[in-house]
Amino acid sequence: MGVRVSNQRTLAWWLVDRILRLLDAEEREAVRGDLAESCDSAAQALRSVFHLIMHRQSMLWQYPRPWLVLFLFVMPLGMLLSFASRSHAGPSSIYLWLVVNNANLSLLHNAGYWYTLLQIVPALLRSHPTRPMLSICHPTSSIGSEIGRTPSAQISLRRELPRSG
Amino acid sequence: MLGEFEYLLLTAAASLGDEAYGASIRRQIETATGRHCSIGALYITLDRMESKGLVKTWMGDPTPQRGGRSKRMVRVTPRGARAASSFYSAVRGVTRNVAWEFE
Repeated sequence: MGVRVSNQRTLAWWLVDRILRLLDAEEREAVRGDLAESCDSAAQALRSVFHLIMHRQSMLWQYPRPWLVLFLFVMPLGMLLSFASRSHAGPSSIYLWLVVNNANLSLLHNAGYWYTLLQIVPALLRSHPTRPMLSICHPTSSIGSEIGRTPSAQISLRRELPRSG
Repeated sequence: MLGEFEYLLLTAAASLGDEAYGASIRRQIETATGRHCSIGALYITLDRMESKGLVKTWMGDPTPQRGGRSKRMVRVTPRGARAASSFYSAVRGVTRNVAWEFE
């Protein structure tokens, strides 16, 4: 029982530490120091920090850039990806079902099974809807990673505080 | 007009003087009110009050007591002092003829 409570506490403090990384470096240090001085329980600390993080993240949406990115890139690319996946899912699911549903131990030792599998998979990847889908996946992931890097690099949520004023 | 929590924060910061920073203000408010004061609420309110020019904050030097972590120091500006004084006068004024009694 005691070990379980201790594990939960450790997990909560680990979570606090992880979500604190969403704050900028100065504020993170100040909050960590304040938590170190306080007698807060792990749950209280988690609630407090979560509240602060949610507020900081919501502040991002006061700027036009996230909205522009959402409407110009994320939503159109997301819809394209969704249509491409749906058109691809129909034919490929039949072949995959045939391969997966019929697989058993004796079949896995059959060379013919593997031969057929090796024929089907490249054919699926070469099939008509796969290429546009893959061509969407690449820019989508690139834009996603750029968006992920943008807030901390270019959007300052809080002005930088002067040192020892 | 200040809110209740803003007034508490200003008063705590003013009473702590040069020792006013996140954790000490929090302790002061908790001692005075007997209620828990969350770090999130404190920092969000500090940001808002700083944007209104009621307080000034800056990062202090790291101290060994906090594992070498810096403090976010707070000072009440003249504008903040005027706002707190005005709030206090309003509370005193409106309370003048009221005796709070509980049965």
